[in-house]
This record gives sequence, structure tokens and C-alpha cells, in this order.
Amino acid sequence: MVSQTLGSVQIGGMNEAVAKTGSTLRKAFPYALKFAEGMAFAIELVTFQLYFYEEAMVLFMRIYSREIYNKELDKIWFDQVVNFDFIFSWYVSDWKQYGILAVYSYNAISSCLYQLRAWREYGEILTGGMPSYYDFQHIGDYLADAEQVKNF
Amino acid sequence: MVWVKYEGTEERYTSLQSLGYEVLTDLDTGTMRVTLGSNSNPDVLTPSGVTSSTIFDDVQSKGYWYDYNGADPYYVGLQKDGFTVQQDRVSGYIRVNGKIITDYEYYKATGKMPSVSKYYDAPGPSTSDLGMETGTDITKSWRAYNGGDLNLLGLMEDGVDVLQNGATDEIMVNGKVWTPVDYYEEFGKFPGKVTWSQLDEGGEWPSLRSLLLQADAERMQSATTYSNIEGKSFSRAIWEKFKTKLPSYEWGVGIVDAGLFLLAYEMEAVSFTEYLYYEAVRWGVRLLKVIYLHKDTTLLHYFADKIYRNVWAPAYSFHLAWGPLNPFSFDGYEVVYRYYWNEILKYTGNYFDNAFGFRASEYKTNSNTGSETINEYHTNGTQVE
Repeated sequence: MVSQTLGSVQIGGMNEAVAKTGSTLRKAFPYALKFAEGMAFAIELVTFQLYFYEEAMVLFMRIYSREIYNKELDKIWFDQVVNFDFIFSWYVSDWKQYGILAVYSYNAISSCLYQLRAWREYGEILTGGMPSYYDFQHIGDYLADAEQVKNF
Repeated sequence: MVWVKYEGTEERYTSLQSLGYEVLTDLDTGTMRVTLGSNSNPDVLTPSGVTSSTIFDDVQSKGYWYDYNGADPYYVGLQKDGFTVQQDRVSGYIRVNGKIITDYEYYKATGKMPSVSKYYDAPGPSTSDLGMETGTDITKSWRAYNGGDLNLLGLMEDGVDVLQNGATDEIMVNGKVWTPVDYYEEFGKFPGKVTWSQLDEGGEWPSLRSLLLQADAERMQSATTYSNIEGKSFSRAIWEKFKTKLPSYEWGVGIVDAGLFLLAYEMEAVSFTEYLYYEAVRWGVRLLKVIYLHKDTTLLHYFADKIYRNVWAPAYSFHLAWGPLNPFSFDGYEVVYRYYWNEILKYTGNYFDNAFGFRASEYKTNSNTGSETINEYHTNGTQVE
């Protein structure tokens, strides 16, 4: 009957009766999935944004490390002041602003930053500079984990 | 009734008096009554959940007020005293001489919170049956049948007077209220659900859009009513409205879907993090190699210390702690880390033996086979053949 068809209102693709009887958790489930996917997307976005900086630094390091090995001091000086600092400052800046959103790769990126900065420190020493202090934050007590590594 | 100021010693009343409330007692019956004292500030006493009278204004103007017929002794007593007590049959609010009584005021007057059930004392039709959208009260009227029953519509086409009660959905044919048996005797079958059309009183079939708008409006009205009556939070009211929009979903499919998603995601995350650590270790070890080739032992130990603490330790500890979550990549990275640990030992010699309190060089492994070979040393540092 026409009236019976019209009397059963469809809500969000679901019959009205079903909408009123389904459990809350059951109805919330697909939205929880969508939320998890949204979180994952944000994490991936930041992770890859920072990974591209890492790639840029690797391209640069192929030249820079060779110059350091050959002790080409003028090239070292030029490259680390012009190229290294240019890429690295963007890298660190974005990591400091958004790196925490990358969640799982935050510590790994700070390790990458540290070894890059170590190369630059050694370049400075070769060009007449001094050893310097620098630090990049880690989340969690990885030195305690390192104790486990020692005992492993 | 003779209300006088309470001068007893019962603490629950004296404490209220000390707070500025006016405590009265009836000399005839001994009934107690607590009212707001003259020193009370009504702004302060307004319950925090209702900071403005917007809701009350809404109820005052749109409510369906009728004489209170519940059993609450407080209101019954007021009625006996000649007060005009009315209740809104939609929201359940009660007003005395035109002023809505909040729960807090009720509490101040009676010493206890009102019973929730008082809201359901009121008999009457549902919200939608009241015709809230059109502002007309159809509860007491018989209207021309406006539903979709083809048999009844056929009767109407034949000129028979078919009416329907907006509140009860009863069908009246030629002045006689029909039972289902009457319907059966006429048409040879029992009626389906013959509903009153609340959507379109003009007599035309409602459009799908108007049906959806109507359902939406009813849910909104329902959420608002709930939030007013039962003291639910605003977010709860929104959820009441929102949850009916969620599509159905199969539990099994949902759990498997979520499980596969999380499994794939954590494996991807672990292996990619290991890759980033691998990059750091790779270039860090390469730096040590360059310094080693430059034959500057002091700087080599200086940088080896830094690289070990800030690159190697977090990388390998992450590998051991989380790497097994991706068993497909774990063995590969294990080989990588063993290779680079051998590289570190090759460039730094026995430096870490002294720096970290254990003989790191004993953990030198054969990177070609992946098998661990424990090297033995004489006390003078030379290796046992």
C-alpha cells in the first residue's frame, strides 16, 4: 500500500525501526573507523612531509660527505653555510612545529637530525671551528631502552 | 493554615535559616516549608544548568498549558490554596500563577527534588500528534481522512463521510467509529496501519523531502524536549538527534575491517620508522668512518659517543622493542643493525668496552652469515685465535 510505504521513513539509509533499535556501539562503529582513518591520515601527512626533507638532506649529503672526506675546506664552508643550513633550518622548523603529529616517527627523525648536525659539527671543526653542543628532543626514555639493548 | 517562622532546633532547618532561607511551619498540620528569604539573590540561586530564561520563554510561548492534574502534594496543596497550577504537556514544566517553577525552586520550597515521574503524570498525545509545526491542536478534532488506505479513499470517492481522529487514529465512517471488525465486514480483510497524515493537511501526497524534513524536525523536537525534561546535557541531546542518522553496519565485517586496518597500519609504521632510523645510523656510521680514515682518535671517540647515545641507542632499542610487530621486516633490519654495529666496532676498536662497562667487542657478529661469534681476548688485549 502506498501509505504504508510512505509511513516507513528512511533515515540515513536505514529503516526508522532499525534506527531506533540498533545498539549505540553498533551504530557508532563505522564512525570510529572513520575517525581512526582520519588520525592515520594526519600522521602520514606529517611523516611524509618530514621524510621529503630527509630525502633532500641525503641528496645534499652525497656531495657534502665527499667534500668532508677530501677536506675541501672552502667547499665545505660554502656548502654548510648555504646549502646545509638552508635545508636543515626548514627541516628542524617543520619538525618542531608539526613533528609531534608524526607520533611514531618523531624519535627517528630527531635521530636523523642529530647525525646531520654531527656532520656539520665535524665540518666546522675541519674549517677551524669548535665542537658545539646540540640536542634534539626524544619522546620517552630511550636511554633506559638502551639499557635493555645492553643486556640483550 | 497558619504559617509562622520556624523556631525549632532541628539542624537541617536551622542550617537553612543560617544560610538566609526562610523556614516556615504550619501550626495546624506541622508542615514545613522553606522559601527564598528576602536576602537571597535570585541570580545566584539560579541553577548553573539554566543560566538564562530562554528555555522558559520558549516554553511559555509555545507550551500547551493545561490545569495540573498530577499527584505531587506540593502542587496539589497549592491548587487547594487557590493558586493556578498549570503544566505544559510537551515539556512537563509546571507554572504557578504563570511563573515556571524550576527544580531548584521546588527544592527550596519543599526540601527535596521533584520526582522525575511528575513529567509523565500528564496524559496526552505525543509531540508530533500535537501538530507543533503548524501550531494547531488537532487532538480534539475529527478530520477528513487523509491517509493512504485505498479502501477508505474509495469510500470517500463514493461520497461516504470518512473521518479520522488526530490523537487516536480512530476511523469514523458515517458517524460510527469503526473497529477493525467493522473494517473486515466491509472489505473482507483487516486494515493495515491507517495513519493520520501529519505532514500535509492540504490533502496532497507528501513529498519525500517533506517526509525527511518532518522526521528531522521531530527528532530535533525530541532532542530539545529530552534535554529540557530529563536534565540531559546539550551534547547528549545532540547525540540523541545524531545517533538515529548512523547507518547500520555488520559487526563481523566491521571488526575484521578495523583489525586489518590497524594491523596493516602498525606494520607500516614500525617498518617505516625502522627505515628512518636506518638512514640515521647509516650516515652516522659513515661519519665515524670518515673520521676514522682521517686518523683523529680523539674526535672519533667524541663523535662515536654522540652517535652512540643519540642515534644508535634509540635506533636499536626501537628495533628490539617494536621491530617484532612487523615480523616481515624484523630480520632484515636485524642484519642491517648487526652490520653497522660491526662497522662501529671496526672504527672505534675497544672504545665502547670502557665507555659502557661491558665488552662491546664481544658482540661482534659475522655480518655475512648473521651468526654471532664470541671473540675471546687475552688480558693483554690480543685476540684468542
